[in-house]
Amino acid sequence: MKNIIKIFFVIFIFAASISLAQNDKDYSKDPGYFDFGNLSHFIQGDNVTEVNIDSHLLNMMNGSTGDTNDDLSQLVHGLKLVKVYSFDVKLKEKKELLGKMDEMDKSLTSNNWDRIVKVKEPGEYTFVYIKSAGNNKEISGLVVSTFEKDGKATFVNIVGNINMNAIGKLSQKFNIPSLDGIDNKKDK
Amino acid sequence: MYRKTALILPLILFSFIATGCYQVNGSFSEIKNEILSSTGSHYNRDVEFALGPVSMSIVRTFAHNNYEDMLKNISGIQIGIYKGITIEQSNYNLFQRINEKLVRNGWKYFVRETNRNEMTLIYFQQNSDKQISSMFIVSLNKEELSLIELNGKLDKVILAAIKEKGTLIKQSDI
Repeated sequence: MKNIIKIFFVIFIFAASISLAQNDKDYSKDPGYFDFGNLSHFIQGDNVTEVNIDSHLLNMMNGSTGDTNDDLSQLVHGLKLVKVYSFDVKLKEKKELLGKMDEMDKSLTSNNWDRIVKVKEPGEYTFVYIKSAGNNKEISGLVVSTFEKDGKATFVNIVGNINMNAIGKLSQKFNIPSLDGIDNKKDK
Repeated sequence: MYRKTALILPLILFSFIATGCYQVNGSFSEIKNEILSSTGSHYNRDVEFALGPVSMSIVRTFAHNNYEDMLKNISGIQIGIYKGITIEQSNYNLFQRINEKLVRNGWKYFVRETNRNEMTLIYFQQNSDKQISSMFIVSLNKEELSLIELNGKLDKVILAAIKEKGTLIKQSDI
C-alpha cells in the first residue's frame, strides 16, 4: 500500500511539474525573441524602468472590447511579449556598454535580423532591427537598442506579429522610450 | 440572557474572523518592513487596513454604481499609506532588495521604475488558469509610501485601468 502511495506521489509531482512547465510560456524559442543578457552591471541606480508585458495581458487587452477596430486592439493584436529596459549608464561603463551594443549587432545580424536603422554619432548610438516571418511580409520581432548623449540606454524587444505603422502609438500607449522616432530615423 | 450572550459572542467572533479585518500580512508586511526600515523610523502611519471577502461584500453594497463592476471582482485588499518618509539620494539598492523579495515570493513584474525621488513597482501573480489573481503596487516618493495588494479576479480590473491610463501609471494615479 505504501508503495502505491509513493508511486502515486511521484506521478503527481511529475504531472504537476509538466503542467507548470507548460503554463510558463517560454518565449526564448520564438524567432522574434532576443535575449539582451544581464544588463544590471551597467545600471547606475537613479533612473531605471523595466516593462514586461506577456501574451496573457496582451490578449486580454486585445479581446477587451470585442471591437477589432478599437485603437488598443489594433495596437496589440498579434503581439506576444513587450519587454523594455531603460536605465542611466555609469560613466565608466559607457565604453563597455557601447561594445556590448556592437556585440548585440553582430549577434542579431548573423541570426537573420534585418537592421533597418543604424545611427552612430559621437556619444549616441541607435540600432533598430526587425525579424521577418517566413513569408517576408510580416514582422515577427523588433529590437531597439539606443544610447543617448545624456547617458541613458534603452533596450526594447517586441515579439509577435508587429504592425510597424502602429509602433509610434504603441510607444505612447506603453510609455516605451526610443520607439517614437523610428520612422524619422528610417528616412535618414 | 445567558442564551443571548452565548449566541451573540460566537456571531461577533465569526464576523470578525470572516470579514478579514486583520492587520496586514504576507508579502505586504515583508515589503512594508523592508522599506520603512530603510527610509527612517520617523514615519506616520496614515492608513493601514486589510479587508477580506466578507468585508468586501459589505463595501460593495455601499459602493457607487460606477465602481460596482470593478469591486465585484476584488475579494481582498490590503492598503497602507505612510507619511514622513525620508528617501535616500539613490534608492537603487532598496529597489533591488524589494524586487528580490517579491520575485522570491512568486510575484512577476509588469512595470518597475525607480528614479532619484520616487519608485513605482507593479507586480502580479496568476492562478493555474493564468488569470491574474493578485496584484501588488508599491509607490514611494519624498512624501509618502503607498502599498496596495489586491486579490480576486483581477483581469477585468486591470484591463479597465490599462484602457483608462495605458501603462503610464504615475504616483498620482495610484
